[in-house]
Amino acid sequence: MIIAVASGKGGTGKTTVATSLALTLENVQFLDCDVEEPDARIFLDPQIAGSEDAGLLMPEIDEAICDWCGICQEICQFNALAVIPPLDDGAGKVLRFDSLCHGCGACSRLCPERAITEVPKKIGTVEWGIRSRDSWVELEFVQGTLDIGQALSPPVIEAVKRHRNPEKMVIVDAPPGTSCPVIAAVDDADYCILVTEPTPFGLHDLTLAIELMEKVGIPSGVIINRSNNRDAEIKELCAEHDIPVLLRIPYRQEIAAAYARGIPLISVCPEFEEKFRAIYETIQQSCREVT
Amino acid sequence: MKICITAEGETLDSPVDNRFGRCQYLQILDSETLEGTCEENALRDGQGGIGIQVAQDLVQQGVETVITGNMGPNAAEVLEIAGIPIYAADSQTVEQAVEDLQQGHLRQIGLE
Repeated sequence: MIIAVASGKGGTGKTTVATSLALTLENVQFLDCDVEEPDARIFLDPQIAGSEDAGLLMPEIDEAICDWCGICQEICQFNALAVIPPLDDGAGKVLRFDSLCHGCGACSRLCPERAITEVPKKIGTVEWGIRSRDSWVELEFVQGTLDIGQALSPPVIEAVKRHRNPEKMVIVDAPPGTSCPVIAAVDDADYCILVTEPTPFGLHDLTLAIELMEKVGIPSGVIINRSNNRDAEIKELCAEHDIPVLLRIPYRQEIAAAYARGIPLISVCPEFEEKFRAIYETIQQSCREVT
Repeated sequence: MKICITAEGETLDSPVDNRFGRCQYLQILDSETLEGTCEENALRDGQGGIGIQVAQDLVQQGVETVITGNMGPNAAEVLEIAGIPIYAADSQTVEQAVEDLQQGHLRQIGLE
């Protein structure tokens, strides 16, 4: 089973929820797919055992073979190539803009002269390890980190997901937002927990996140973090979309203080362990209804 | 000389559009007669890399000089490699900008 934790708005408490859920359940593999800012490691403290490069295949053009037909540039949906035919006196050139290339491979497949080969380019790193200390829960841990200066996170997210262990209860910490990186992180999840907060931004972005989950067909439920009893609009929204409010985490200084020191929620508020177990039961039930 | 000016409108008294890739109109004129064509920039609402595509189109059309406000490094690289100089205007009209260019009053911009 795969449970993703997403949010729409950033900073609502995805990692707080994902790490505490992971520490509550058994036989867990944790995937930190928030590759622009992976920080679950701070709370889970795994021993990193290995790493590999993550990247994508980018076109390399042999300008000695190229006849400047321009098909590669035309086919590129991301404007990552520009073909400059030879000037009267000089040589031509095909420019590649790495920050725009998505590594789709269309240019190399459609080049009539076969002048394009694909070469791997590193844009991030995947690391993995195990948390097993004292008698505390043992879990497998994988995280991706996008290199500084890179803009395209889905290939790194996909690289993290290739480490998925089908024998495990997989928990995915997704990036914020509702665009490609989020879809890459959640697209094969069985269930998605959406974490929000009772602010206008929290509500607005939760609406987008709920609509996204409806569109990709993933059942979802909501956790309200920093709840201050002004949750009425969130509850209304959930009722409208017929999705459950799974949990409210109160706005309390001790929780924020523990977070700032890298201490998981369930360590400072052990009563939440039972609540997370109950959420898991709800999720299992909801997934059974779907199938 | 075939010259492209990014413009906010279709006429010679329209101001130069400060944006390159996302400009409203592309006026392609003969610098002597000020005759030529004006097309709405169909690419301006595209997702990304628009400057590259507009620059590439200008290369294909045989434009020899570009006047705009600002240009990003990607589009500038395309034009530089194609040997097309870029000049910065400052919201003057298209007609004035062409005259300023001919008087040598426009600053050349590019990668460096």
